[in-house]
Amino acid sequence: MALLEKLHRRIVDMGLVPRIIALLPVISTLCALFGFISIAILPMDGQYRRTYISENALMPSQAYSYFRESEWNVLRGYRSQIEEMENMTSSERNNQMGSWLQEFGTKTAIYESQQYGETLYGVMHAPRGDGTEAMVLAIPWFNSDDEFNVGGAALGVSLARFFSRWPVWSKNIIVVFSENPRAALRSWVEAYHTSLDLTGGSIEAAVVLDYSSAEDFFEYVEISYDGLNGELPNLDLVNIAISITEHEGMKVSLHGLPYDQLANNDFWSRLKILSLGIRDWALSGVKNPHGNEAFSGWRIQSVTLKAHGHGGHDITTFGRIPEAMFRSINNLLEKFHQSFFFYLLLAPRQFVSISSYLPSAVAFSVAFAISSLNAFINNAYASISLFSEYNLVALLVWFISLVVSFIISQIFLLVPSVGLLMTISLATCFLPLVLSEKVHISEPLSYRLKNVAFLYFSLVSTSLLMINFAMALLIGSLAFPMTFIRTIVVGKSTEHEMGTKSHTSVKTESRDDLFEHHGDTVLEKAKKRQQLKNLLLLVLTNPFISITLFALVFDNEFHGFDIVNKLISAWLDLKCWNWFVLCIGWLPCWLLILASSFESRSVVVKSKEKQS
Amino acid sequence: MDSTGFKVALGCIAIRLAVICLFPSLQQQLDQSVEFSTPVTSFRSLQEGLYLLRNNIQVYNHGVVHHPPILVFFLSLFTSGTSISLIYAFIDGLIAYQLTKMTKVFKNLRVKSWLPGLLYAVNPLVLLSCISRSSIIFTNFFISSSLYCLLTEGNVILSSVMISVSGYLSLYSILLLIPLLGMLKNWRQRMFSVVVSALSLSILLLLSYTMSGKSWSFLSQVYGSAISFEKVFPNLGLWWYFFIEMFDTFIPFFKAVFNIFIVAFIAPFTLRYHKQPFYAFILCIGWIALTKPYPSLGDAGFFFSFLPFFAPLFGYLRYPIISALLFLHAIVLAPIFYHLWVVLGSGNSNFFYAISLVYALAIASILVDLNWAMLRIEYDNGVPNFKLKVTQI
Amino acid sequence: MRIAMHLPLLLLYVLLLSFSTASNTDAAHEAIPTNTNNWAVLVSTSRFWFNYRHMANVLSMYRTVKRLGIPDSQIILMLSDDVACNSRNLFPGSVFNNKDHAIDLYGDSVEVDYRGYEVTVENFIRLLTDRWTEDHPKSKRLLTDENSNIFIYMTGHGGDDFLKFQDAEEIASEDIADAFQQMYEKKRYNEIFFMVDTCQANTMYSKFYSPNILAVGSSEMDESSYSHHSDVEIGVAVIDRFTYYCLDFLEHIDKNSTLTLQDLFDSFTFERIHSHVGVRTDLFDRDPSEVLITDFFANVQNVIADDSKLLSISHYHHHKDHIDTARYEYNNNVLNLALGKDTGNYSSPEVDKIMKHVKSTNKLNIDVGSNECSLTFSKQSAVLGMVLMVMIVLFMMRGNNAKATYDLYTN
Repeated sequence: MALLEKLHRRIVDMGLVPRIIALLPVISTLCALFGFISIAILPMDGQYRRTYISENALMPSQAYSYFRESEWNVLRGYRSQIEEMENMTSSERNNQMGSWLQEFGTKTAIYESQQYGETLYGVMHAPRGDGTEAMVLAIPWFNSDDEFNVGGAALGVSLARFFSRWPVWSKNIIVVFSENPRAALRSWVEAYHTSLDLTGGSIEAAVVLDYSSAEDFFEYVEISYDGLNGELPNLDLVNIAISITEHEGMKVSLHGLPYDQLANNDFWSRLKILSLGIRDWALSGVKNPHGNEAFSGWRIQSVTLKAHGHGGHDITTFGRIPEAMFRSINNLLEKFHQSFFFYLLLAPRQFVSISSYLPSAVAFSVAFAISSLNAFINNAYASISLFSEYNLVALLVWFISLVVSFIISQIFLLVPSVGLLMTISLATCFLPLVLSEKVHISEPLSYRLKNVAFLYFSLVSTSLLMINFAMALLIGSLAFPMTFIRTIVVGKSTEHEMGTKSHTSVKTESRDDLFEHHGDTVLEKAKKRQQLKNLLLLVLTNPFISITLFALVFDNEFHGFDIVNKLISAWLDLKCWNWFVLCIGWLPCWLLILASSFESRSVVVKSKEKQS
Repeated sequence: MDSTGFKVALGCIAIRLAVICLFPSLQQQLDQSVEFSTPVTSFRSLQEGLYLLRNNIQVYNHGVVHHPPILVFFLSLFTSGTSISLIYAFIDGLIAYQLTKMTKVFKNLRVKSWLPGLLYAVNPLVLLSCISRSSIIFTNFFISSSLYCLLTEGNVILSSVMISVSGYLSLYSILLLIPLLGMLKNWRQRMFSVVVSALSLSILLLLSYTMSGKSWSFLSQVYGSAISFEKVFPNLGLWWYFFIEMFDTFIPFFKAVFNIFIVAFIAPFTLRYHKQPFYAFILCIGWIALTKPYPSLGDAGFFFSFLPFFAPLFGYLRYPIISALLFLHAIVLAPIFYHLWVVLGSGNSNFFYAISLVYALAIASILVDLNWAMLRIEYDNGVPNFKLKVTQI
Repeated sequence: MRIAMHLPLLLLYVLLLSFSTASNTDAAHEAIPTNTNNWAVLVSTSRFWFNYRHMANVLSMYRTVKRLGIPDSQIILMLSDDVACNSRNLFPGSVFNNKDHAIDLYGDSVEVDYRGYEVTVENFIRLLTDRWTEDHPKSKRLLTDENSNIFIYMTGHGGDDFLKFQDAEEIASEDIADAFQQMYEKKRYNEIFFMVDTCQANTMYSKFYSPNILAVGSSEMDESSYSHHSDVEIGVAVIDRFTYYCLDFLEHIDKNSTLTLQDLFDSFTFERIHSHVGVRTDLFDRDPSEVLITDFFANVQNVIADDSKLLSISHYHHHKDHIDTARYEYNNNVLNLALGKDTGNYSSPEVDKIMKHVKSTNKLNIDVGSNECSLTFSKQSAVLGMVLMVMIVLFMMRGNNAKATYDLYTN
C-alpha cells in the first residue's frame, strides 16, 4: 500500500496526470499504431512457432495408406459415368449415386429442403466400433466456383467403397453429396442435428473434397479452414491435414496462394499469408464458402481440400489425404480438445497463438476507450454533474440510434437493394455540411455523444475479441478514423467576458474545437476546412462504404457493391452475423458521431466542486 | 399514497409489461442464461415445484426444487402465465415505490425523490431479472420493505418480520438482521427485534413443516443446498470453480471457509458505521451480493439501486470510472465466454471463471470505494471537503 | 629353531586357509539359490490405442516366462486395455510385437488376471502385500512365500518417481518401496527382480530399501524411453526399445541356460536402447554375474525339505479349506432364499450376517413400494396459516410512527 501511495504522490508531484490527460488523443492514435505494428511484427523470426501435433493419439501418416493404383480403375469407372451427370437434375444424380452407395452396404437417405434442394447422404456404420460418433466426407456436386465437382464426386463414391471394405473403423463414416458447399450443406448439417431420422452419432470431424477437373492429374492442394462467425477448427486437424498432404508429396497452399509462391518462406511471404488469413477469417461466409464453413457451430472440426492445377500428382494421391485423415481421427477417443482453437497460420507449418495476436485488437479497443475518455475530460464540460440533461439526452440518442440501426438492418434484409443503402449512407454524410447554419446542438451534448459512441464501440470491439478476432480487428482499424472528427463550435463562449462567476471550469488547451477569437473570414475558412475533413472522415468510416472500399481494394472476388449483398445473403442463408456486427455494432456509433458533428453552440455551465 | 411514488411505480410496471409483451420469448432465454438464473432461484425449478405440488407429488424429494414451501404454495394459486408476470411486475413496482418514499426521509440528500425509483425502473439488470422471473425478487422486496417500514414508519416489529421473511426466502439475507439491529435506537428495541424475527422465522418454518406433509426434508433442500454448495453449476459467483479443482478431502474445509467469509464482514460493517447504520445496511447488501454462493445479476442490480443514497459521497470516490468500466465489460463478456465454453466448445471453464472474477472485482471495487468515501466523510466530520487530499499511511 | 621361526607363518597360513575354505564354502553355499518357486508379475498401466506397444511389451514378457516354464498359476498378468479386440486393430484378436508379425502374442492360452479397469494402484499394492478380503479369488493373488523369486515387470508412461496408471492416477516409487518392505516383513519373497520400461524409469527403483531386490530401469531421470519401430499396417508403434532388446536376448535362453543376469545387462548398450539403462545392485546379496537368468525367468524347482516349512504349507491348505466351506454354505443358503425355501440352519456367523442384510434390504424395498406419495402440502393448513400471517401483518401495520433520522451526516 505504501509503495502505491508513494508512486501516486510522485505522479501527482510531477504533474503527470494533467499532461497525460492533455495528450489523450495522441495516446489513442499511438494505441492504434501499436495495434497495426504488433500484427505486422508477427512474421518476424522468433515471434511464431512451428506447428506440432498436440494429441498423441492422432499419429498422422503412421499407418500406410492403401488408396492407390488398385483403386484407380474403380475411380475412373465411376468418374466416366459421373461426367455425364452434369446436366441431369439433382434428383436423378442423387438417385444414381444413392444406388451406387447402396451396392456396398451404405444406408442412404435424401434430405429435401424447400429452399436449398436435395442432399444425398449415406451412413456406413462401423462394424466393430460402438457407433456413437461419426466422421463426415462431404462432396458438393458443384464447388464454390460453381464448377461441376467431377473428380470430387468420383473420389467420394470410390473412397466410400474403399472404406466399406476396411474393418478398422471405430467411428461411423457419413458421405454427403450436397448441391453446393453453401446453404445446401449448411442446411443439411442443421437438419442432421435436429430432424433427420437416419443419423450416425455425433460428428467429430468433416473433410470436404473439391476436385473440379475431370483429369487424372493435379498440381497442388489448397486447404481451407476458416469457419463461420470467427470459429476455427482445432489446430490439430489442420496440422494433420497439412502433414499428411506433405508426407504424400504434395504442396500445400493456404488462402489461395498460387503455385509459384508456395516455395517461399521469408518475412514477406509469411506476412502475406497472415494478412490473407485475417481477411479470409473476417469475411468467411461472405466470400464464397468452400464447404467447411457449413459445419461451424456444432462442435465439428472441418477443413476443405481443393485440388488445383494440371499435372504432377494423380487423383488417388489426393484420395489418400482423406483416407489418412480418417485413420488418424479414427484413433481418437475424445473430441478434439488438446490443441489451439485460436491461432493464425503464417505458413503451412508455422503459426501464432492467441497470446501473440490478441494484443493488437485489444489495442484498438483501448484506443477507442481512450478516445471516449478524451471526449469526456478534455474540454470545458468535464465537471458537469452525472445526472445532467446532456448525459441523459446522449444516452437517449444512443438508444434511439440502436433502434434505428436495428430497423435498418431488418429492412435491408427484407429488401436487399444495396444501391439505395449506399446512396442513403453517402447522403447522410453530407447532412452536417448542408444543415450547417440551420441546425445546432449544444457543445456539451456533442462531446457526450462522442463519449457514448466511442465507449459503445470499445465495448462492441471487446466483446468481439475472443469470439471473432478478425472481425474485431477489421472494424477497429477501419472505424478508427472516426476518432479524428472534431466538434465544430460556433457562438461566443461567455466565460471569457463574464469572468469567473459561479463556476470553476478547467481551461485545458484542447485541440478538439475551434473558438472564434479573431476575424471572421479566417475562422470561416478554418470551419469550412474542418467541415470538409469531417465529411471525408464520415464517408470513410461509414460501415457500408468502408467495408465496400476494403473489399474492392483487398479482395479480387468482389466487384462494386457485391459485398453488402453478400453480407445480407450470408445472414439469410448461412446465419453468418457479420451483417449485424456492422449494423448494430458499428452503425449506431457512426450515427452518434454524425450527430455530434453538427455545428454546436457552447454553453455556460455550472460545475460541481472539484474532486480530491 | 404518494403521487410521485405512485407515478414511479406505475411507470416501472408499465415498462416491465411493455417488455414482456414485446419480447415474449425473452423469459425463457433469460431463464436459461447463467447470469440471471441460478439453481436456487430459477423459474424453471419453481415451475417444476408448482407442477409437483399440483399433482400431489413430494416436492422436495427430487433435488430440483430449492424454493421455500410457502413461496411454492403461494405461486401455485396462480395458474396463468400472465398473472405470474403481473405479480412480478407489481412487486417491482412496489420496490420502486418504496425507494421513492425512502428517499424523502433523508433531508440532506440532494437527490430528487423520484430518481432512485426511476433508476430502479430502467435499470436493465433488475428489469431483466424481473423478466426472467427469478425468485430473488421476492427476497429483494422483503429487504426493501423492511427498510421502508423502519425508515418511514419506525415500525420495528414489521421490519423485523420482513427481514426474517427475506431470510426465510433466501438464506443469507437473514444476516441483514445485524445491520438492521444497528439501525435501532436502544437495546430494548434490539432485543425486541431479535425476538420478533426469531419468532416469525420459527412460525414460517413450522408452517412450512406442516405444509410439506409434516416433514423437515425441505430444510436440507432449501437451505442445506445453499450452505453446502450441493449444486455445482457454473454461476457468476466466486466459489463454484473451487469444487472442480479441489481434492475431495479438502472440500468440507473450503465449504466452511466460504460460509464464514460471507458472514465475516457483516458485523464489522455494522459496528464500524454505527453512526450511519442505513449505509452499513446497504454495504452489507452489497457484500452478500458479492459473496453468496449462487449470485445473479438481480442481486447486483438491487444493490446498485441503493447507490443514489450515497450521492453526497460521490465526490469522494476515487475510481468510479474504473469500477464502472470493469462492471460493464464483465457483464458484456460473461455471456459471450459462457457461449464460447458451453455451446461452441472453443473456450473452457477458465474463460468464464476469469470473467466472473472480473465481475467480482468490479463489485468489490465499488464496495471499497464507498467505504473510502464513508471514512472520508467521517474524517471531515460531516462537512464535505473535496479539495483535501488524504492518503493512507 | 627353524620350525619355531616358521610357526607364526605356519599359523598364519593355516588361518588364511581356513578363512578361504570357509569363504569358499560360504560362496559355495551362497551359489546354491534358495528359491523353490518363481513367480512373475507383469503389469501394463496405460490405456488407449496408441499405447499398443505397452500391451505388446507385457505380452512378450508373458510369452517368454511361460515358454521358460513358469505356469499360469504363478504368473499375474495385468493388462490395462484390450488392444487385441480394439475396433481399430487391423488384425482382430492378435497382438504383434514386430512388424514381421512372426509371433501372435495373443494367440492361444493367454490368461489375463487383471484386465481393464481392474488394473489400479490399489489393486497392485494389494496384490504385492496380499491384503485382500476373503472372497478374492486365489488365481488373482500373489501367493508367494519366503522361498519365492519374483520377477516384476512394469511398463507404461512414467516420470520422475511416478508411474501413471490408466491415465487417471499415479503410483509413486515410495509406494512400491513400502510395498516391498511389507513383503519383506511378511516373508513373501526370497528375491525380487524388478524391471521397468517407461520414461525416467530409473527413478522408480531409487527409493527401495528392502534387501534382496535387484532392479533395472530403461532410462535415467529426465530421459525418455523410445519405441523401437512402428507397424505401418497397424499404424502404431509395436514394441519399446528396451523390451525389444531384452527379448532379443531372452529368445536365446532355454530352461537349461547358464547365462547370467550380468550377460543380460551387458547386452544393453546406449547405441541400441538410445537411453541409459540403470541397474541397482546394492540391495542384492549376490553378484549379478552369479545369478542365472533362469533363477527369475524360468521355473527351476529347488525343493528344500524343511520341517518348519512343511507345517506352514499345511496350515495354509487348512485355511483355504475353511474359506471354501463357508462360501459353499453361503451360496447354498442364498439359493434357497431365492427359491423361497427357508433352510433355517445357518451354520456360520458370517453367513448369518449376510442373511440378515439380505432380509433387511428386502424389507426396505417393500416399505418403499407401499409408500404412497399422497399428502404433500396440506392445503387447509397452508391457507389457514397464510390468512393468519396476513392478519398479523395487518395488525402490525399500525406502527408507532416514531421516525429517526438516518442521514449520512448532520449539519
